[in-house]
Amino acid sequence: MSPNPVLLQVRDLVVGFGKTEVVHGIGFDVAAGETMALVGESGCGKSLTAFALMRLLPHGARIFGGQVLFQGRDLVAAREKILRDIRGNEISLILQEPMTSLNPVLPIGLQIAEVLLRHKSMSRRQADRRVLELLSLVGIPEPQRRAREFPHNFSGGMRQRVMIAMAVACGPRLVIADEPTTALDVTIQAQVLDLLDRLRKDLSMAVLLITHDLGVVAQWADRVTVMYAGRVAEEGPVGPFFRQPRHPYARGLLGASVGDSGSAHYTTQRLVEIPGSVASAAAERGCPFAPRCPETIAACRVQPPRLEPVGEMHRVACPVEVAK
Amino acid sequence: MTTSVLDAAPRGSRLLRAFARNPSFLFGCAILLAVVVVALLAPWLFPGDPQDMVAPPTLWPGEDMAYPLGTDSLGRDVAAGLAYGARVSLAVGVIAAALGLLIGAVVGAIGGYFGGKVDLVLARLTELFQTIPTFILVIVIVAIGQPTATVIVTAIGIASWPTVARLVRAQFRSLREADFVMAARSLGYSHWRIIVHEILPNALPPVVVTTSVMVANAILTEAGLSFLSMGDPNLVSWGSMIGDGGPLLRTAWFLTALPGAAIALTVLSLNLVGDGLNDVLNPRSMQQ
Amino acid sequence: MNDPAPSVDTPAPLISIRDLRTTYAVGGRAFHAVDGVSFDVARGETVGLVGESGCGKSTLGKTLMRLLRPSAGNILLDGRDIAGLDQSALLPLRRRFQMVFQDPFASLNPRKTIGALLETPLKVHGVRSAAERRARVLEIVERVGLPASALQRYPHEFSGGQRQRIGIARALVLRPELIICDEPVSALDLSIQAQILNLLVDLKRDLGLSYLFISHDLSVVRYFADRVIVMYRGRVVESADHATLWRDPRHPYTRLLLAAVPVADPGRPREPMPPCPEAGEPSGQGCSFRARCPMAQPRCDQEAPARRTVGPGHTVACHFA
Repeated sequence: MSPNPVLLQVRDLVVGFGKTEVVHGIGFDVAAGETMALVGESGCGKSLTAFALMRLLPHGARIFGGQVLFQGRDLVAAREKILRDIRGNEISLILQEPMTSLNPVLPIGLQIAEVLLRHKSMSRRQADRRVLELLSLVGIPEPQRRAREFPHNFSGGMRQRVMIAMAVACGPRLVIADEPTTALDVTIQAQVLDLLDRLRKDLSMAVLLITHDLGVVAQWADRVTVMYAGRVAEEGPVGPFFRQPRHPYARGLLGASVGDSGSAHYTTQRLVEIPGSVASAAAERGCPFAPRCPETIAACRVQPPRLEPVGEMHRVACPVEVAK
Repeated sequence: MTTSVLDAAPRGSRLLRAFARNPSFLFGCAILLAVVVVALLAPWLFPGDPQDMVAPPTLWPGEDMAYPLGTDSLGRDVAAGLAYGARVSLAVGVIAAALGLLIGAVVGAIGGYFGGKVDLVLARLTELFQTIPTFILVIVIVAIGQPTATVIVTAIGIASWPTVARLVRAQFRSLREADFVMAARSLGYSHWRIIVHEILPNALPPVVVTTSVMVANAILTEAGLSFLSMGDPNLVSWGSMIGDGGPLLRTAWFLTALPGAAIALTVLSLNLVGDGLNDVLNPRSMQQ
Repeated sequence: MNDPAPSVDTPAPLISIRDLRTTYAVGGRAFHAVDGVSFDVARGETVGLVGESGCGKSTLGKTLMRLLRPSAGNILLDGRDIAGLDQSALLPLRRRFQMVFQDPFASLNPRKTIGALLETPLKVHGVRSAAERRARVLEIVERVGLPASALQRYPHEFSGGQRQRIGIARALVLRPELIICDEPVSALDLSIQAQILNLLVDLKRDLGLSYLFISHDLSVVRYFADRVIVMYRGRVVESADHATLWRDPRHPYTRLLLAAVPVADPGRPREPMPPCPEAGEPSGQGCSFRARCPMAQPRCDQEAPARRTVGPGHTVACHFA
């Protein structure tokens, strides 16, 4: 693992709805102070995984098995009361759409203060002072005035900053950010992600950044875990991953991603396509990517491949690649 | 050219699945079906005029097996009355509801689609009709006209369209901004085509569910009218049977209870069917 | 060319927009979503229209399709102004330009089969023979990479990428010359985006189409467009061909935009974004970007900059660029 101590260890996590598994036993680590990106397309289970880490599952979903070890404690097995003390305090969550995650009828200053009062013993006045500090920290001008305003008085980027203020209020060790900038304009996205990154360094937090945007991964993450159809396809440091992605799916994603630094244009270059769609993974007994993969061997259709190391802290779930 | 994998959704019968998930829907459908069958077969089950006096008066159910549900104060067969009453109730219910649906859909569609001044006028008109108590409006119309079945049906239809209009208008207002409607406009489709072929099929499902409740209400309204002796005197109706049985409530209470039960059961079944239809037409189950 | 006076030897553009304005009434005030936009789309050209939320690019697309009424300006289709035409005069012209919509789940009527969806435009536009309609529909379905069996099915039976193909087929069935694509791949997964973009490239080549490609995703526009127009709050701030815009962005907003796009290359160093206040009140007299501009001067408050040519095919609306 990276030189920092491991903060979060996910082992064989299985999550699903009713009787159906959606996340089929995934595992990855997050070290203290690093940004780990969890990447995948829609339906791969990344958001479900993120919620499962804090046991904040939607109605009808449950954890079938596995472990989530946070600083040594298994959150899957822990009592609900322990989880409630951890949420917002040691692990916090930033969601995609701040308009629905902020209470529209309460002033934002009050919402941030609520988090402080719940988890830290401080007086209301102390909490209010801290709220103003936090608002300045996240770059909201005129904090005194704005703390009394409501979410609809803020633009999308500002609302997301408020969410970040709430998330870091209690000094968490880990912040889980689920597509925090997908709903924002690209110039605002850059500001918000820069802010999150700066806070991570200043406050020594780790960030689990869930996204589908490879550009975001390249610019702000230290390590990346690629998910496909509920399984981990590849996991490793960002540099080697982008230089040479090992899993065929990851290669396809990078090839399809137009945002590379070259000046590719349709007149000179065709985008790499991954044929078919994710739905074909559902019936597959072996590797879920096999129906779309250009390099399958017989072993691929028999059982899902295990993650094997292929480099320094770099693992791939692909027997073909591992053999190289 | 890559051919994508076609993930076809399972083509099972949504109706059968709705039955399985929702036993009350099944129950409602069964009762309704029974009522419809009895109504259709009435002339064969009970030949002759149900208003004929055929037996000694106020026979109790079971006293004489030729008249299994007894007779009323004028010696008319109660069972025959129930069967023919079913015809009247269902006919009035369905036709009145259909009329209300037609008027309401037209008003709601035009107002909801065009907006502006047209909508303003139609919305006020809808509100006007809605503020008048339904039953009173029906009584007034029937009192002005003749108490024939046609007038009664028309009156109930006229009194019941506002609910449909509001529902349809709301649907049209939201659907007219949908991308597929914009696509239709960009292809140059006429207003008529867009209203009838594009929006209406998508606007109707919630309305269809309301329709079964409308039928139930129409049946109740008709029963109320007949109970007050304002119904069609040439027809035997469940409501008129209750009205006729009123004076004998203490001694021959079955004369009120049986038609009352028939009404209650039919209205219940229509409500259950309405709920079940909602399930069938809006398959928005959480699938992963 | 995007100069207001096209030079004599360039062929006439397919569509030419002059000083287009689309206005909404918001709380008693007039809001100019599109505020005096002019540009051309030449035959066989792909023009990319980029900007962030609120820049008016979607409104512009809908105004071109005459789904919205322009409040001022001209839309010249082959020289003929369609901005003021009523719907019945517009009908025969509609088959020359069509639109592909963003949301594959909302852009297809859920109650119609794909076959009906594709045949109706032909019916409305006078293709009387059912056999001919069938043939054309089959041809177009095949062109977008779907099997003939798709015609009997309903939209909910298809994935997002397939639905977008159906949307493209619908736009093509009348054999238009111009397709306005309003964020056609923004709602799709990355791997499906590549499929659809490749399809659009192939269709352009095979059918000689022109595209107006509206998107907020600069990376996609960089790949896909021949020429790029950057909009900010209802106005065009810069336009150039794709290589020039990335090589030599002149307008401060364009520079900000390009700097903000995350590139999928961790080796590229990031300059931190300059903290800029978020946009406030509408522009009025002056430059619409002045509140966020690092180069703003008093002149920018009073005078809206005109578009100046700074290179071949390269115009900028800034006093100081």
